[in-house]
Amino acid sequence: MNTFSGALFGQVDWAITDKLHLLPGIRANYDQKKVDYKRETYGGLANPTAAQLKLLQGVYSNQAFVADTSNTNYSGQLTIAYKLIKQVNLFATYAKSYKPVGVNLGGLVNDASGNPDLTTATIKPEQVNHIEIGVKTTPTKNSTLNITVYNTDIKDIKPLYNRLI
Amino acid sequence: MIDQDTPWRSNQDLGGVSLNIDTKLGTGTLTSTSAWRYWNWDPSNDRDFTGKQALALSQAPSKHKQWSQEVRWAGSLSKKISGVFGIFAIGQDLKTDPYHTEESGVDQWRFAKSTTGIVKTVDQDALWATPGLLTVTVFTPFLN
Repeated sequence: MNTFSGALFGQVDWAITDKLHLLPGIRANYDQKKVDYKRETYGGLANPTAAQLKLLQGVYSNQAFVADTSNTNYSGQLTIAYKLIKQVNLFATYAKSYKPVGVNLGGLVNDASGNPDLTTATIKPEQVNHIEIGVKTTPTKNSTLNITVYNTDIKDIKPLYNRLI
Repeated sequence: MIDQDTPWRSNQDLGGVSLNIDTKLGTGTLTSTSAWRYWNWDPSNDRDFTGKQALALSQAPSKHKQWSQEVRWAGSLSKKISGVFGIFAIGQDLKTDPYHTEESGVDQWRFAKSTTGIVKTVDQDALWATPGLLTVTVFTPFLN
């Protein structure tokens, strides 16, 4: 497997007033992933019957495929922060995020005609939308009290899973 | 008491190096971070965890390399605006070393038995139990 990612990013902190800050950030990301997969099976019976071969191939089979995929994503966030008093900071953040496009390294399921289902060779990017509002406080010199409420929506989530080949 | 018939091994060789360079540029600091890492993995596992020959071997020896480079500038744009801007790149390469192996033995049919690919005209249990049917080695080389 071979991967390349490149990104341009920037974020600024704009002090609109002494108490009010706006912090926009943006990132452009390019991701490319390539895999060349080959699985070879040796052994078993020297001369299996058709029925035996079918059972064997349901468990172990040869497979070869090549996948090469790339994707460009834009992500970013915007935070607004307000210092109510010295000990109390209010903030709200919106973030749009992602996990890059993926390739499947664990072998593919076969389609009805017994060929690897190449639609499962690549994995769509995961898209995340996140909002968060909260307050950060220092009630006394040696204490901190923060409260945050957040909501994260994830589309095309990429769970990790393993299966025996 | 441990009943198993494949050596256990988790050999790892890993390391890396990185270089940071800071320099003043205008009203801020320009920073370059270069990094290179590698991870070589040489495992051996008894995947059935027993002295039976089911999934006798399961090992994925691999070589993994990655490099990355970041150049960023952080500083003040005006009295009221500060920021950070940069470019980042990372590449990685993962290869089998020389190949991944999964090996099944004479007991594997007990675990692999399923209704997949069922042939109704013959005795399924006898068919699954055919000696040597699933005594198979699977090699998986990732090329590139």
